[in-house]
Amino acid sequence: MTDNQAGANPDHRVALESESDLLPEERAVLDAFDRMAPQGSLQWDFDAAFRRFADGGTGLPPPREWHGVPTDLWDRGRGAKAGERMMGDVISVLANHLAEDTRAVVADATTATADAIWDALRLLAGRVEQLESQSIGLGVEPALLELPDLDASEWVADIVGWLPTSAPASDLPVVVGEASDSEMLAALVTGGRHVTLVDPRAERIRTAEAQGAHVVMADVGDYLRTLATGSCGAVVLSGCTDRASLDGKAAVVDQALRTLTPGGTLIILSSDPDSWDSALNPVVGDLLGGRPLHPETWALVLPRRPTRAVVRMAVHPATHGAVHAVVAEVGR
Amino acid sequence: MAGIHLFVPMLHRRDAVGEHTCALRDRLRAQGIECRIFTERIDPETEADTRPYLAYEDEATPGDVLVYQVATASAMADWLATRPEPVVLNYHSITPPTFFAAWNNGIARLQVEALAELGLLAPRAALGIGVSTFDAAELTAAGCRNVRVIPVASVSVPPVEPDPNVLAELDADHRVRPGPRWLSVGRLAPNKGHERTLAALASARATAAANDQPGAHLTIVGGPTEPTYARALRRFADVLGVDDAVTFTTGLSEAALAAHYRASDVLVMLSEHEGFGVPLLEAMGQRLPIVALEAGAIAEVLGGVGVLLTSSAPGVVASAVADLLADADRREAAVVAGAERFASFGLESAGSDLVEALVGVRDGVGGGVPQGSASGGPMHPDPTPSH
Repeated sequence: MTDNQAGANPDHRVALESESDLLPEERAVLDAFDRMAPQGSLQWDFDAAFRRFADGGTGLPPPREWHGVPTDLWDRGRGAKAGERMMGDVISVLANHLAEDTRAVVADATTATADAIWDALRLLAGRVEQLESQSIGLGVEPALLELPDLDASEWVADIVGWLPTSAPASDLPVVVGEASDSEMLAALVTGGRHVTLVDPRAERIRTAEAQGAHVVMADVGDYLRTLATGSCGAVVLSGCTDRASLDGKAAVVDQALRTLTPGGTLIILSSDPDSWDSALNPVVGDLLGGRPLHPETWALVLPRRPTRAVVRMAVHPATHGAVHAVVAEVGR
Repeated sequence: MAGIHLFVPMLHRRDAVGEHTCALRDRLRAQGIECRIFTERIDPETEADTRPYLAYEDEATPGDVLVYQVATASAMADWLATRPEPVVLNYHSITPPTFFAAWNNGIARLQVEALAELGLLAPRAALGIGVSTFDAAELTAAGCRNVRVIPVASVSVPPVEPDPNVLAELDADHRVRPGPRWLSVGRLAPNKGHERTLAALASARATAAANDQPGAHLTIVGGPTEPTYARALRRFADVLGVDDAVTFTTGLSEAALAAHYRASDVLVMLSEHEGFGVPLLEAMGQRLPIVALEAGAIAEVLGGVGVLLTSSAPGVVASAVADLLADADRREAAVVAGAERFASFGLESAGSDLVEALVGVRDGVGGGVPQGSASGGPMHPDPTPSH
C-alpha cells in the first residue's frame, strides 16, 4: 500500500490488485462459497459447465459418460402456480440422477468433475425455470385451471371455537388463506376477530370485502412470507394446500407456523383426496402437481415440521362433507 | 386540503424504508401538511397507520403530491403511472437482480420487475430524490429529469451513546479473546459481500498464527434478509475454520450497536452494491476507522476518509486492515478525519431538506412538470452533499 491513505487526503484510493489477480487458493476458497448457492441462474455459463463435464478438461481421468436427462423428466408433476410448477420435481430427479453419477465418479477422486456437476445443477435449475415460465405462455393459462370449490360448511360452527381464547394469541390477527366459503368467513368476522383474507382470486376478494374482512389479493405463501414471526394468532388454510406439490404444501405450512405466536392455532381445511379426484376436471388433474393429503398424513407431517413445535393437535375427519379439518396449536 | 401523501408497498416497523416513511409523515404533519400513508399490502403491525392505495382514488384532492418509496416491485407502480397528480420518487436503491439470482430466483425476478417499474415511473416523475449521487445517477439513467440528492435522515446526530452494559461485555470478551476486533454491519444479503469478509478474516488469522500473534475476531451485525445466504455464511465460516472467531448478531438497539462500533478496532465493509452505506456514517460518528471496497456510493460517502480498496481479494483486505491497525498515527488520522466528515455531512438538516423539496413540488417550485434534459436537473454534481 502507499501513502497515508487512511486519513482525509484527496487520494485515499489504494492501488491494489484487481479481481483477476486473486491468488489461485483464494479463488478456490471463494468458489467453494459460490457452490453453496442453491439455485442456478443465467449468470452462469451453462455450456461451459457442460464442456467441463464432458471432456474432463483438467488432465484428470474423464468422468463417466453423461447419459442425459431421465426420459420421464418432463412427465413429473406440475402445479398451478409459478412457485409450485415442476421445478422442484425436475431438479430433485436430476439431483438424484447426477448424484448417482457423482458417486461413481468420486471413486476416481475428480474434484473438478464434482464441481462441474454442481455447476450443471445450478444451471439446470435456472434453465428449467426459464422453460417453465415460457410453457405457461405457450400452454395452459393458469386461469383455466379451475378447481372445485371447497365446501367447508361442515366446520363453520366449529371453526370459531378452535381459535385461541387466551392472550396474546387471541388478540392477534387471524389470517385466512383463501375462502371459497363466505359463510365461514362471515362466522369469523362476526366472532369479533381481526380477520385478513388472502386470496389470489378477485371475485373472492370482492365478496370478502363486502363481508367486512380485511383483504389482500395475493398468493397465501407469498403473503405469509411478508409477515413478522409470531405476528398472528391463527392461520386458517382453507383448501389452499390442496393443489400444491408436497414441497409447496410444506412451504406454506412452514410459513404459517412461523407467523403464529406461541399458543396460536393453525387450522388446515383439506379436501378429501378421493372426492377431489372425482370432482376434478381430468385435464386440470393432469396438469396439477399436487392433490390433497389425507388427514392422517397431516397428523403425521405437522409435528415433524422443523419450523415450530406443535403441542396439541386434533384431526377431524369429514363426516357428511368432503372436507377434513386438522387443528394444531404451536408451543408457548 | 391538498396534501403530500406517501405510498409504500408495505409498511414495516424496524425496517429502513418503513422507518423513513413514518418519520417523513411525522415531519410533514408537524408542518401542518396533510399526509397519509397508502400501501399495497397490510402489515398487521402497522395497519392502523395505513390505507389501501386504491382508497386514495376516492380521497384525492386537487393539488395533492404523491410520494412513492421505491425499493421493490409493487402493483402500485403501474397505478401511480396513471395518476394525474405529480409523483415524486423517493429512491432507496434497487439491488441489482444478479446478486440474488443464484440464491433466490424469486427475489431476483422481483428486482427485475422493480427496475422495469422504475423505468416506467421515472420519466413521469415530477422529482426524483436519491440519497447519494450514485442513486441519483440511477434515477437519471432510468429517465428521471429532475433529480435531487438528499442524504439519509435516519442517522442519529449526535451519535447515540453506547450501551455501557454491552460495552462492558464486549470489553470483557476482548480480554478473554485478545486480537484485532473487526466489525461488519449490513443485512445478510448477497450484495453485502460478507463471504469476502469471512475469507479475509481467515487470511488475517492465518498470517497472525504464522507470526505467533493473536488472531482477529469478526462480528457481523445484520438480519438474515436472504436466509439461504445467511446459512451459507455460517457454513462457510465453518469451512474456513473461523467459526469460533465470528459472531453473527442482529436485532440490536441503537445503543447496543453503538457499543459494537465503539468496542471494535475497524469497520470492514466489502459490500458490492450500496446506495448509501449508513454503517459508514455510523462508524465515522463513533470514531471507528474504516476499510471498504469501492462500490456503489461508498467512495462518495467516505469522501476521502478511510481505506478504500479496489479489490476484495482476501489477502488484500487482510493486509490493508493489518497495516492500518499497526500504525497508530494513521489510525488516529482516520478517526479524526471520519469525525470531521460525519460533522460535515449536514445530517441534521436532511429531514427538513426532504420536506422542503416535497413542498416545493406541491407549490410548483423545483418540481412540477419535469423540464430540461437528464443532465440539466438540480442533481448534485459534487459527491459531498451541501446543505
